[in-house]
Amino acid sequence: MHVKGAPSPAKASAREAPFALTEPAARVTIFLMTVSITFRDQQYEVRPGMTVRDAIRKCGLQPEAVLPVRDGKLITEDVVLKEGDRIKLVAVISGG
Amino acid sequence: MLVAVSGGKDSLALWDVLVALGYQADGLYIKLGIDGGVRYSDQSLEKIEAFIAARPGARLTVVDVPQELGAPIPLAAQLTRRGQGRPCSICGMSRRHIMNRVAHDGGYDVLATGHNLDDEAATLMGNTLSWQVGYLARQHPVLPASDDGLVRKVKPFFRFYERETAAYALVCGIDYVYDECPYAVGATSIYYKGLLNQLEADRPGAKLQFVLSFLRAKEEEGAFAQAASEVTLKRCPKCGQPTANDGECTFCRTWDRVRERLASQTHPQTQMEAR
Repeated sequence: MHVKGAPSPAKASAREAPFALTEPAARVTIFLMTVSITFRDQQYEVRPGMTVRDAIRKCGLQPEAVLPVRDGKLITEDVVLKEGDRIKLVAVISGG
Repeated sequence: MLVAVSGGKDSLALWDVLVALGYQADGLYIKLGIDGGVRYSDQSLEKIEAFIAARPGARLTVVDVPQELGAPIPLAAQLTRRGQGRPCSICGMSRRHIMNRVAHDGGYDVLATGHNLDDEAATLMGNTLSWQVGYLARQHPVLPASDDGLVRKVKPFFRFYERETAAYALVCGIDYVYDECPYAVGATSIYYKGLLNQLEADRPGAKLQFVLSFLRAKEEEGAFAQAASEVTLKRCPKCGQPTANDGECTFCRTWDRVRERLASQTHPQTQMEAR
C-alpha cells in the first residue's frame, strides 16, 4: 500500500528490473504492475490478487463506507483485483 | 406528494423510485446559499435540473434562502448564537420549517425525505447517548399530519443502507453531488455513522436491528409514548406554522434576529444614531 505524497514504491518498481541476463541482447524490462485505488484526493496502491474488500481494508478504509467502481461500473467486494486495475472508491456517507 | 431533494444520492434515488412507481411526486429544493469553495448549492441545483431534464413531467419548486430570508445559511449562523457558529443547527431548523410550509401551502398530502437506515441509526444513536426523550418520541419513518398544521412526513428509504441507495444511484446512472456539505466535515452524525459502520463490519445487520428494535419497542411496548403526548403545539402568530413556543416560532425569531444584525452591519451609522 502506498499513500500519495510519500516516496512511491510503485514508481521504484516500475523502473527497469535490476537484474542482468547473460545475453545483453535478450535483456528485457519487467514492469511490476500494481492496483491503483483512488478515494477522494488520496491515491493508494495495492498488490493484485487480493479481493476488493481486503484492498479497501488495506488502505485503512471501511468497506461499509465506500463503493468500488472499475471502468465506470460498480463492482462487488469479492472481485479479485488484477494487475493494472484502477479502482475508484465512491464515498457513501453523507449528511451533517 | 412532495419530495425534498438536495442533489444527493438518497433524495434523487427516492424521487426516481417514486416517479417510476407512478406517484405524482414533485420536488422541493431549498437553496441554502452554501459555497464552501465547491459551489455546493449551485452544483446541487445543477444536478437536480439535469435529473428533471431527463424526466419530463417532474416539477420542481426552488426556495432560495438568501433571496427569501435575507442571508445565506453560513452567514445567518455567524450572525446568531444558534449552533455556536456552525451552520448545521440553523440549517436543519430552517429546512424543516420551509419543507412543512411548502408542503402545507401547496396542498400536498405527504412530504417524503430520503433518510436512509444509516441516517436513522446515527440519529438514534445520538439521541440515545444523550437521552433526548422528546426526540426519541418523535423519531419514526411515518409521522402523521396534525391539526396544528404539520404535514404527514414519510421516510420510504429508512430500511435501506446508505451504500444501497448510493449503489442504486450509480447503477441507474443518476448523477448526484458526491461531496458532502462542506460544513458537515466533523459533524457528530458522520462520526456516529463511522462507529456504526465498525459495528456493522463485525456484526452484519446490527444497524437494521438497532433501528427496527427501537421502533418495535415504541409500537409494541409504548416506549416514549408519554414524552410524545406531552408536546402541545401552538400556531406562530407571525407565520402561522406550528410551534412548541409561546409566541413566535424559532424560525421567525431566528431569522428576524439575522436580518436585524445584518441591517446593523450594513448601516452601523444609522443604528448608532437611532440609539
